[in-house]
Amino acid sequence: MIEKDNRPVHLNLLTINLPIIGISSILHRVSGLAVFVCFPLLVWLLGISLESEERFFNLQNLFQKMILFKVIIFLLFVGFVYHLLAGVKKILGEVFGIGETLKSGTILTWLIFGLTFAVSLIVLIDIFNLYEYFFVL
Amino acid sequence: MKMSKLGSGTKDFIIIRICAVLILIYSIYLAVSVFSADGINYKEWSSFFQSPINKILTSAFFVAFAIHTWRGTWAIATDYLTPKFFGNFSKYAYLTFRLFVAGVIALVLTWSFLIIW
Repeated sequence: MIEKDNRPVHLNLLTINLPIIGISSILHRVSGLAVFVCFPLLVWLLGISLESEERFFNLQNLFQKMILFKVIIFLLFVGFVYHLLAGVKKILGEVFGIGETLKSGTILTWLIFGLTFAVSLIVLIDIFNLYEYFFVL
Repeated sequence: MKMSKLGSGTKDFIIIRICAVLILIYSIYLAVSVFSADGINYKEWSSFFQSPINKILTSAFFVAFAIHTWRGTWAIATDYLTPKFFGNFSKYAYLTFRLFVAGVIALVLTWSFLIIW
């Protein structure tokens, strides 16, 4: 006979000392869901961009002028890149057993965060044209 | 709530990862093909999507996207839209969320195929 499970459940994320691996895991879900929900927008943009050269050009112009448009695309890009890298980390663990201890897992997680940050920063500098603030040429 | 899975747990595990790898490879392939030092131009962008091979690969990407997200959102739904968090309402929360997901996937799939083909 299965007894009713009365063990206390404590899932208050604000009081649990969640390790960085756990935070990364939740972010993997959040980023996946966010990119999923926003995907129709990307399909819409793909459709417009392939309609004609004029519409493609208009879209490019809008992207250059409208900050909000840039910000949304940038955030989507960050979420997608993070989700991909965190997924690669997961598969590395499952297939090759890489990063399965607490120590190596923590290092790998920071590596994923660092890579996401680096790629995002490069793209941020590029699409917002911030070269002069970051590079003294 | 078993109905929303793709098959057995092991089968799901493998399918979601195969789709993930397809999405990763296609994303890199697309980025490498259309981005050049001075951004994207229409000529390269449209010729990429006109090539028959790329049409097939892009379709495969969207199918992989559909399968991957259908299973991925199932994992989220069965973890959080439960009686523990939503009580008696959880069944409706779960079904509403799954319907929403099915709608988004159907929209993305039909729309993208209309664009590609």
